[in-house]
Amino acid sequence: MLSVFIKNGDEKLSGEVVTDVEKEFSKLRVTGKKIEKILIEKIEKGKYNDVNSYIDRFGYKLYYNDISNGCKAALCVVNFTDKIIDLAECGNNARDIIISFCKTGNILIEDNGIAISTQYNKDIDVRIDKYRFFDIDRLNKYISDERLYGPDMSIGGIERCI
Amino acid sequence: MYMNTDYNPSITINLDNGIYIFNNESATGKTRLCKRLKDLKAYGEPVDSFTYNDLLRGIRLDSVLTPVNKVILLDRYDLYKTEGYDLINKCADNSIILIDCKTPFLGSLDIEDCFIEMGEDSIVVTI
Repeated sequence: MLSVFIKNGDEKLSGEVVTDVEKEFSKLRVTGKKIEKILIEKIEKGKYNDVNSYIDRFGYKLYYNDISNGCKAALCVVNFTDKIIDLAECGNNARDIIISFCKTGNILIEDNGIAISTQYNKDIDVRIDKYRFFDIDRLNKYISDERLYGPDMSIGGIERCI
Repeated sequence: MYMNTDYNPSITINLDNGIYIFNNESATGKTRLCKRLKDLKAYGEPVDSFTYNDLLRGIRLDSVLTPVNKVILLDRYDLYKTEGYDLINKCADNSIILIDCKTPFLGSLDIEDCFIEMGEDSIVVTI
């Protein structure tokens, strides 16, 4: 389950928040697990090559240091699952791909009023506040309309977290 | 406008002087452009860039935000936003200032969006 925290200024987060994603990523070793390959493909439009390199969208072999910050953030999410990765530097595409495909980890995002896209993958496993979501449309509805007063639990795609 | 085809990749910044914010998308080539502009600066071109690691290394923003540079890119600006507002506005009359900032940029009201297109051997920035 991916845990999502939304910035609101007062909230105290328990756990280390990673703001400098590039620095954190440089501690990482990409091992080629399935989720890493998906993230490289979807965000970078490239392909995993080996533990040191990937193939970029033009077919060139590059070191991971050259990969975009958005993709670095995503790879940090799935590898540093005990930390909260601040997606401040991520574009909406990277944010949406992380939410669509990552089933572990923690992210901190801004509520920028832009709905999470359903184009990548509709089925998710995301926790926000005290609720767990299995559907992106349901998650979008909660974030945009229901966070203040609580969700309508009769609408599917949501369950309460214990 | 700034165009350089002497080096590979070629760089075309098809914009007038002013402040521009890249569209909110990852993996479009902004950091690649940032690195290329640093290289071009070393080759004597009137361009430069600045990123968060430069700040951490003690490099000052005012070493980059000068009217000598016709194109200036501020990469990863979310991590040092609120820095350099006065300088950015001052330089905007004589330079094209490109800013990678995913959260609202509050340094000026006179800003426009721009888009970057990265090709195999070219980088183009337009409105």
